[in-house]
Amino acid sequence: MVKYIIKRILMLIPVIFGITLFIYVIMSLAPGDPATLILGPDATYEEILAKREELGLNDPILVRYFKYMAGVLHGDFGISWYNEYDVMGEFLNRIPNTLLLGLLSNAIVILVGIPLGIIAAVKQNGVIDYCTLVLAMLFSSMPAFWFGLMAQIFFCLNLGWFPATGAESLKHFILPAVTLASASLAGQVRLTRTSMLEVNKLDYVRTARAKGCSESRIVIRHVLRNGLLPVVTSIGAHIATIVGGAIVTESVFAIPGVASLMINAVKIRDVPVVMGVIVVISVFVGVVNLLVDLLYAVIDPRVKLGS
Amino acid sequence: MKKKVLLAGVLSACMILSLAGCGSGGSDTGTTAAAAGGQTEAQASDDGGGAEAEGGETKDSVVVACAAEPNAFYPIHTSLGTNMDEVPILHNVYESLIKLGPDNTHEPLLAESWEISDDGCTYTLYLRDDVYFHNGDHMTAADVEYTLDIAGHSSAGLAQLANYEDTEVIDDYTVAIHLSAPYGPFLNALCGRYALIVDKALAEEIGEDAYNEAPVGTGPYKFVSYTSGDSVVLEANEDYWGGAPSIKHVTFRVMTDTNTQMVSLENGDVDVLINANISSLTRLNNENIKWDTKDASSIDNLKINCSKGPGTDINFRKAIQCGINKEDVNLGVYEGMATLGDIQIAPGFSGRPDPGTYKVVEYDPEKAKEYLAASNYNGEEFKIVTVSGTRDESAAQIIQGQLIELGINCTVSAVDSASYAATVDNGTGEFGAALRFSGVSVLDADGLFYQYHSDSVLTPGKYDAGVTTPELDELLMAARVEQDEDTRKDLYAQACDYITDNAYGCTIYYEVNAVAYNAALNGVVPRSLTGLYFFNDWNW
Repeated sequence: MVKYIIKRILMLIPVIFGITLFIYVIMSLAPGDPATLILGPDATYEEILAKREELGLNDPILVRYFKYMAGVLHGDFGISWYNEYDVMGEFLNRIPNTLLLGLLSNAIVILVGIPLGIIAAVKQNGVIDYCTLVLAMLFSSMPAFWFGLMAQIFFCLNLGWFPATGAESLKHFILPAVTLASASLAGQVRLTRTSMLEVNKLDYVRTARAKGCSESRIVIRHVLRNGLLPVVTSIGAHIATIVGGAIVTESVFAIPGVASLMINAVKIRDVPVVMGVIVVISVFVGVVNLLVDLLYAVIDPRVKLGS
Repeated sequence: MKKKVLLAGVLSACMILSLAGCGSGGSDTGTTAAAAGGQTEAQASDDGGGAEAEGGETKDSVVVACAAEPNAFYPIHTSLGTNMDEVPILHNVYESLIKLGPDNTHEPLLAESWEISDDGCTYTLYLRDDVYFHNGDHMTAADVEYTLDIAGHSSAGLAQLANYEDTEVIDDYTVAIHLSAPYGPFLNALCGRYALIVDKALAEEIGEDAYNEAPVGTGPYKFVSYTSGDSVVLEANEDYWGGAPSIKHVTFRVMTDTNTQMVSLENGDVDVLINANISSLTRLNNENIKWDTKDASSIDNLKINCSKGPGTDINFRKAIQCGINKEDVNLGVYEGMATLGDIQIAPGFSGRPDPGTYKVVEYDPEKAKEYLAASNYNGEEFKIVTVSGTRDESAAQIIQGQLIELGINCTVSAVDSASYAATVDNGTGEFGAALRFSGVSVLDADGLFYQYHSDSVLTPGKYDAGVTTPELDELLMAARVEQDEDTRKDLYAQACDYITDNAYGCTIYYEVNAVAYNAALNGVVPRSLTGLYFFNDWNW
């Protein structure tokens, strides 16, 4: 087990190098010269050349990339080209907002999605089953910016229950978390339902029924345990997309999080900021995937890690 | 059974984690306490239906929304990037020498009065003697000299304080600013961000980076805090020389989404949108919100690439010039609220020639077809480059439809602003035409200089779109240094005619600024420059 974990962590290294190299090259090849963007349209040509030299933009891309990664390995994520703030400091300032948003939305997906999926499966073709189907279609087809706006108009303007924007208290996070959760929630309900139904048809469930087990015991002991495996995978994938999914939500609800930091940096070609966020996120995604695999072994004793 | 317990454990761990997240989130936002306070107050008063907060106390805070994150808080920082959204903050923490009134007149601010020498090259300013910086330092001529020398010798500063040479300290409260040649809009420049006076002693002691972290000016508001991505908080300067402001707390909230801005204004989270979306406002039905517009400082001009592609043919350019129905573009993009354009000088700019003194090309699709037939256009692609997600993109799409109807194979390429700059301004010139608003912060006809004079356009690293000629250079330079207002207007009329005759582009409209605010707030007047809002003019 320990050996397996170490092996997986070592495998993260080439993955992270691959991702960062890819992003670095893309960012460097994107049209738009950072030096010109920083200095503005009134800068002289000499000033732009000097700024390019200062930022090291005249070196070949690979040289720049390795210089950057050398800094990262020493814990130095550099400073923003544009605002000159410390990238890691800024990231740490903002990550609590994004994490809170992500965790709340995942909590909603798990605590609402799984029970609803189970109910839909148990009462297959019942009223609840059809209702969840319709709601699932509805929620997953609504784009986040629109859902967020409608939620703001209804809950903030008409009812006045929640504040529309900001990140000052937990109350500010409820609507954004629901918005972020809505699309995945629908998928989660349907996935849970489907995998429960699949397991429900298997022989050992029929055997359990035949020997006279109570229905609730069958569902909890036999169906749920086996049906949850694909569900855990999808939750892992959802956690991994916290930052990507939050880009729209953070913008609609004006939450100062990591996603808005990154998207803003991409627009102004602020390479150190984009890279800093990407490095941390790719490590995070790698670790979450590892945890999901470990969780597999816990839920399903047939899964043997490392053998 | 044991495994079920484990599963339950995992699920509850998720819950605990999310709760722990709440805890840290809460404490992290402690620094924005002032913002939160202001906001609850705003909501309370909104529920109460007026400016009175609960308990009958008058509200004294204001929340203003801005669309992008402010970057620099030290107006003359030499290496930071700048943007438009920090300017209103700068103008309330710092003060310029002269104040630009709402109707673009000059009012005294740090300078009580001023004189201009007969040759137009020396501006003598008499400063107030009762002005103190927020840290208690006395503001004197030395601070003015220090600030202008740095600003006037930087390339960004020179774009406003053009022809600046140096500042001479005559006594503690008198300075003489020397120019190398007269510059028509120099008084306007002395109202701008590069004439915001900083504390020389402090700047020399702590340096520009530390100054940028904790800005100190002479203005009616003191800088309290900046929470990146979220807000900037200001508080009233009770010792302000012009009297303590009535609004005690101002919070600048970053809200990138215009719909979000409107919702926040309607529910009272935000009191003022200084750059509001006009389409949303025209559909607004809420008596608690007022809004007003004013001609902005920016001009939407379709710039045709005259060096490459079909635009090299003047008949093709003329076809575009009279083939665009500007009224339709205005209706589609601005609900008809913008002022239609004819020359690249916005109404209200100094130096703008009077109507009737310059040539105007009317919309005439038949004539456009004739021009097109006379040109050697052979159906090749004519690409309009613009910035995605902006009003210009919508305008470009409407223009595309009109040009296709004429028989031009027009396409629109909407890219982000960095790519736009790399294509149009500094790059390869792979475009048929480019559409993006351009602002003139000195509010003067001299904006043409930066579009058409070879000193500005033909510098290395910039794309040459083929719009400079010695004749135009001469006209623009003569107009720039001319002191007689009528002669100046005449020179600009000639320059505009030259540009119109050569069909270098097509001016679509002059943009308008809209300010929307809580109806209970008094003193909010729309401005041509969104940076020039003075919060001490406002009260509940």
